[in-house]
Amino acid sequence: MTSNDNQKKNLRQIFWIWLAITVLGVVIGIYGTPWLMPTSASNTMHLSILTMVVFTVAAAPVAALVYAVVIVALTKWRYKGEGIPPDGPPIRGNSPVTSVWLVVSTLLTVFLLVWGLALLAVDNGAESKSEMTIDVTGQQWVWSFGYAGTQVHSHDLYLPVDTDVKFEVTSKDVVHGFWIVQMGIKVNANPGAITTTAVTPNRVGTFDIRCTEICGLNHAFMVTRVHVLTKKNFEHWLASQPATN
Amino acid sequence: MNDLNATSHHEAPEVVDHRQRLGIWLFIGGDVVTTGALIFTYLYLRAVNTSGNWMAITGLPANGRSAEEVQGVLDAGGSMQHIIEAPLSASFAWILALVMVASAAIFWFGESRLRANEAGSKAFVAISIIAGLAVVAYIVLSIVQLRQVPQYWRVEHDSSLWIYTTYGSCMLALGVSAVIHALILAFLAFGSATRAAVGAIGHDRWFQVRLVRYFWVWVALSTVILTFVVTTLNSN
Amino acid sequence: MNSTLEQHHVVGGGFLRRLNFGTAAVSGLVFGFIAWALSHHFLDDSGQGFADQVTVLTGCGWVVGFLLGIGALTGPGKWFTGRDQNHADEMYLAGKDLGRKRYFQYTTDHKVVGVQYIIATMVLLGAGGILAMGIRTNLLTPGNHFVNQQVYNGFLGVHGMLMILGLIVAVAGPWANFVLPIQVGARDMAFPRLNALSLWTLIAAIPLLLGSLAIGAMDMGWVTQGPISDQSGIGFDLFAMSIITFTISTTVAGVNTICTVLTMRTKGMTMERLPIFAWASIFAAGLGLYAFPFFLVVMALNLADRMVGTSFFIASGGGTGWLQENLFWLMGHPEVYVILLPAVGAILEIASVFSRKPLFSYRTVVGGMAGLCGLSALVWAHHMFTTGWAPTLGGPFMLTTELISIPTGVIFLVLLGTIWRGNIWMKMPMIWVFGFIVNFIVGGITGIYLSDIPVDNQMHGTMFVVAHFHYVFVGSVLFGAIGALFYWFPKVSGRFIDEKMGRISFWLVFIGTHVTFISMFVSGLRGMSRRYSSYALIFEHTNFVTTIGAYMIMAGMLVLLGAVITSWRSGVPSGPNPWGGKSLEWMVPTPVPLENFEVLPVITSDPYTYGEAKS
Repeated sequence: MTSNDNQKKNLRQIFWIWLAITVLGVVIGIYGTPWLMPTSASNTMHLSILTMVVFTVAAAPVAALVYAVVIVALTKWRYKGEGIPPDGPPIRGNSPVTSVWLVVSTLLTVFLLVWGLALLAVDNGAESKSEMTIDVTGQQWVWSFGYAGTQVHSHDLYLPVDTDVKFEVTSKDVVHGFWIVQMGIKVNANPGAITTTAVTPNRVGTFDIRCTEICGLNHAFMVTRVHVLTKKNFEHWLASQPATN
Repeated sequence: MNDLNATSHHEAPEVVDHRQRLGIWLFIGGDVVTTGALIFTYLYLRAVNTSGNWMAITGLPANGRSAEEVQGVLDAGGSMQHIIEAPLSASFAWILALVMVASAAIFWFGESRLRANEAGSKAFVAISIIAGLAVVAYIVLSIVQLRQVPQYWRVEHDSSLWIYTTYGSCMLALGVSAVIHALILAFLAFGSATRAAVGAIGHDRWFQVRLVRYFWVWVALSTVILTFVVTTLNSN
Repeated sequence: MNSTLEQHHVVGGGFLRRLNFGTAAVSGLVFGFIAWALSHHFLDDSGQGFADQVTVLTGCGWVVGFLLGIGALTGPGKWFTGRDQNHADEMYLAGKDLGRKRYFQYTTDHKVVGVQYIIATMVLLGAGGILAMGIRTNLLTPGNHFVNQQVYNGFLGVHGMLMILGLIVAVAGPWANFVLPIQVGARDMAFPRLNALSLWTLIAAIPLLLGSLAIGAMDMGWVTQGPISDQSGIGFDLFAMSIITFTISTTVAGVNTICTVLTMRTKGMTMERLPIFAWASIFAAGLGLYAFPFFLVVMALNLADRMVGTSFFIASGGGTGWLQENLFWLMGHPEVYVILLPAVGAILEIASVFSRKPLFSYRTVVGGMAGLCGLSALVWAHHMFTTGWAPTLGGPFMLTTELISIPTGVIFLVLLGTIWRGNIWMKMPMIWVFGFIVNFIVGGITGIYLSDIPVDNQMHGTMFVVAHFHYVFVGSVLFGAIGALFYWFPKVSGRFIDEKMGRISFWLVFIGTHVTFISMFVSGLRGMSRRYSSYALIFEHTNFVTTIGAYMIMAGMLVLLGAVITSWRSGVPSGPNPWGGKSLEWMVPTPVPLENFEVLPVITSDPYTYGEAKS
């Protein structure tokens, strides 16, 4: 067999292995990723999960190509004799391959960027509309929530469903990270500054808030819950709360 | 054979000089980033001016007062005030910069004497000592300037704390950085003088002096840049 | 030259003859103690920041005393007084005829420094590994209190920093010192005494870092975020002193590396004929020169806040933690490539030699590395997408971050192109190269997820991020570093590292890496924040698996350590060129003689002429 035939054979092998791994990656991406992530409780989280799926699907062929070459190298190109192997073919480069590689990786990058920017554009609706503002204050090691326009404060967060909520986040001492796990929003609570984030909860239920910046001894226990209620129940709850400051 | 090897391993002074010049430029490059980081800090804090605290603070002026005196003021019913501080004297800062630039110029002049002729070596000893003394003066003046940075007492939760405004903090950091640079320069200046005096530096061996001068010129330049920044962008 | 001088001063070294690691340690402790006593005596002990001032001054005393005691300050002293070192002094400093003693001294020979760096790297990574085991043991089950929370938080920060420092020097330390000068055809580094200085300042920094655990652990992870850094125990003061000392060490080492490659090349060694490891080393060193000054400044400002009451990062005085984050990540992201590039350089060398093929597309990969360096300075704020700092800059930083995938892709292209249809020789170094390729893909792709802001809003600060960068640091850099160790060890010791133990350690570390970090990805995806000392029940299974995987990695590393120690003493002799390499380090005898070459070679081609006619 000439080396050209060999090369063709190698390419065929790589193609089939590539296809198999790509299919596997795509299946894992589509079914595995959402299964591993928390139940989505907002459109923001939904888009975040969707992005994970899309990027996994887009990355699968790239990783598959690398793995396919590795597998063929380990099985077909491995030298089985004793001592230092004879020299291989002196390939010092291949301009078409390099060009295609660069063009494809650039296109993939452009796709990533466009996807990211589009998502940012789609998803900043809640903040601009903001039917409701919540003051979030972090301190070692509790969260407290103030409901703008009322005197109500709570340590569990209560939200009405399908409402654009804006969070104004600050801290009394050190930096904390305000994260509503199932809603895909996160922003740090900085002392002396107010940061904002926004979300529209779209599922009634109880979800988790966790701190994501190390804030001292009890960082791991700086957790609380968010209860998303129907609008009616929320009004009810708000009315039943005593005014505090 | 061995001797031959020993000499063949010995490199020409020009080769060594070329290498050392590259080395000193790289060190200066690192120092440029360090100074840049300090300027970044200054400009950042001035630009964000969190809660209007760039040059203002709530506290008691503390310079010249001991902890007991401040406590006495508070015990007598005195309270913390909202203070807007004045920037450090711009003319003093420019005098400092001028001293640094002058010291660099003096050293550079000394280098040119050294390179000019055999006799220059002696002149260089004297001139680099003068340049070194100028740096010592710079250090003294810098310490005087550092002591001008206003300090405040602030009483919180039954404990009193020293505090500086962010402007004052930046001036402290820049001042300490300037003093550290000047200490290195003083070491290099007096070292150059001794080396010239014992003949380790001479008319035909002046490469190291040029390296010192590169660093010196950079320090002078950075002093001018920093002085410009802190004297023009210092209002609240 | 100076022949009269040499004659009445034949025995070189002078005062330095009395100094070694022991005198350095004693002198460091004595000076540390003197600084401690003096600061207690003279400073106002009722003043604020007193404890911090004492700690920092004690740390300074240790560093100065240590450097004095090893002889690092003798050179500047001699320079100042105009009594330059003569040839005999230089030969003494280079360790001529000193035998083993030279490994414990301020020796300037680049090969000795390289070996000292191997040991320093092992100490750093070993100590970091032990802390990692502490962290993972604490997380074995929910609410497991193997150590208390204060100690746990200290472990987090010091583990992170030990590993970062260890990996910065893991490839660049041993091999840019031992191998690089020989590769470019030089008799030593450009500045041999600075070379020893960089090593011994690093050594001086290590006890400070470890000591910080003992005297009051810090609370804020390795990123030392303000303003919590202001609350931390005095351990942080030693931690910051250690970093400041370390930045001086890397700056000195970086200047040395760049000057060696740019000015010490032998005749015919054009930049286009440089081994790729030399290119990777100068890119990393140059990037370090840019990055580490920020590290120094951020630590110095942090210390100032604690010691004298400045308000850089303290909101009540007008400062802001965002400044700390900016300064830190201006250093922090380039630093990733300072760590990665030397490992990539070593990997590419090994791939070429063990495929018996020329490096694929030499110029493309040099361009790719340059691109990585340039871009890495422009991406720092992607660490700050969720901090609330300048949300409008999110788009531009997302762009620069995603652009990095192009030069990273180039590295994969060149690696795959190099092994393409080669005669793959599966010896130990090459096995680690394949491990690198497999792991780096995972680390790279998960980085792309995180560059996307909506995903980062979910994933930032979670175990997903931790798993991502551990795939890069452990899966890629550590694999590259171990590959480099197996590759160049025969040149250092004249012996192979034991193949059987090597394979056992590879499989333990390789499988352990995937077990540890895939389960950690799952913890992150399911919503576990990072730096937790305890966690909710839903994370129980994945954390248990992660801990088991971490134990596997540790077991593999211990096997590797055993292999290195036994092979150093009694391994299979290798001869000067066991792998059939063509770069210059394989052309000199083993052990490499002082000053490397009898006659400097003349170079006519790059070292990748496999399968090409001899020219």
